[in-house]
Amino acid sequence: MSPCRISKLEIQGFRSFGRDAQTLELPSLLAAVWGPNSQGKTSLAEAVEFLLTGHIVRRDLMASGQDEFADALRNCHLPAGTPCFVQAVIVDADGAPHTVKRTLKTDYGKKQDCETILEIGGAIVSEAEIATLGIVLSQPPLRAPVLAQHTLGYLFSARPQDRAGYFKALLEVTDLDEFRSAVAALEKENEVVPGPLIIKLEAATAIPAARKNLRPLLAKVPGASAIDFAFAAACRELIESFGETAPTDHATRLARVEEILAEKRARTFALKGLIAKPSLHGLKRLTSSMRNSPSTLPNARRSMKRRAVSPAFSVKRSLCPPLLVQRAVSIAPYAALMKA
Amino acid sequence: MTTEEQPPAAPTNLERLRGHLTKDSLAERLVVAAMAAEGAPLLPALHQVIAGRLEEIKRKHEPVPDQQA
Repeated sequence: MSPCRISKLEIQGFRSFGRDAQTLELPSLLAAVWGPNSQGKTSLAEAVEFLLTGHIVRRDLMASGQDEFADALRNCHLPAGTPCFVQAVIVDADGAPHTVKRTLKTDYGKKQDCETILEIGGAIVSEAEIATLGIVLSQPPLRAPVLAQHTLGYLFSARPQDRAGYFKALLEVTDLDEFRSAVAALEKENEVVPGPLIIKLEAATAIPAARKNLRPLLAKVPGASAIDFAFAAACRELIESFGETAPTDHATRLARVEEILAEKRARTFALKGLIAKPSLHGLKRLTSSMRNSPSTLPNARRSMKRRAVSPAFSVKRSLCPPLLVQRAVSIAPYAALMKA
Repeated sequence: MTTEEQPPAAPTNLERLRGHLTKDSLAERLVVAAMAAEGAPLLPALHQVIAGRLEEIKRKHEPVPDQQA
């Protein structure tokens, strides 16, 4: 599949083109047209613009354009009754040729737009049909993928999004834009609202000693072993951040983290008036989880008691890595701690 | 210019984009789906890729083993 292209142009009576139709063959994707001044190069570019849009943008962009372009499309030397048209063979993306012809019906007036007839394959069609050939037009005023000298000035002063839209159409990358929009829509549809445990995990990554090991868990869905490994490493670094050597056994290491935290909590005094009340819902939930894991009950009771008296505990609690990953809910011994 | 001298068809924008992406990545799969859509609405084709990817992730992570210490 390749982009659509013009393979042949035939112009008669348009701007500087005279009564005899001029034909230009364009056999390859790249063509260069060279000529001295006033030989019709701009007329050729405007003929392509006229063919695709039925207008020439120079009239809209120039302050004096409306007056200057009155009766300007039809060559004034063209005998009456001789049609003024631009015709092209456009090869679509599948390699099929289509003859597209635009005939001028009524020329521009001082305050009046021109009228044209568009035909594809000999049948009169609406303007929208041009898109079926794979030709993407931009927004007005620069609709056609024709960059002429008079449009450069406008492009510099146009709004950034208009400028971007014009160049996307000119460079034929609107398909990429469409693809990007579709992916953005998918992202929006599949957006995941982080659960409370993920929020805790995000908070835990703020702890310098744990950040390195826990942050990767947020980047992609971790496996159980990755969670274990990350927590073991985070525990080790937490212990080491307190100036101790971390035990090699993870269970012992976890217990040591708990002890260190317990020591820290013991040094935290509740501020009068800021005493947090235990939530009945939280108590029920915790009790239920403790039932499933009775070995952690003494710790949990202590936790609830501290929670009730120390506002600082809610902050300190985030230091405990096993509280942090949703996946760990189903992995004992994290379960009770995660639900607490 | 004879037929033999015709230059090979230029790659499309999506083909070029695909060339920059990691093989078998989600991004590459989305681009391949967009290429296969060929004028049909893009979103349903991309939805299918995303649903497949989510299923793949779920299969990879279920069931979660109960790692009793």
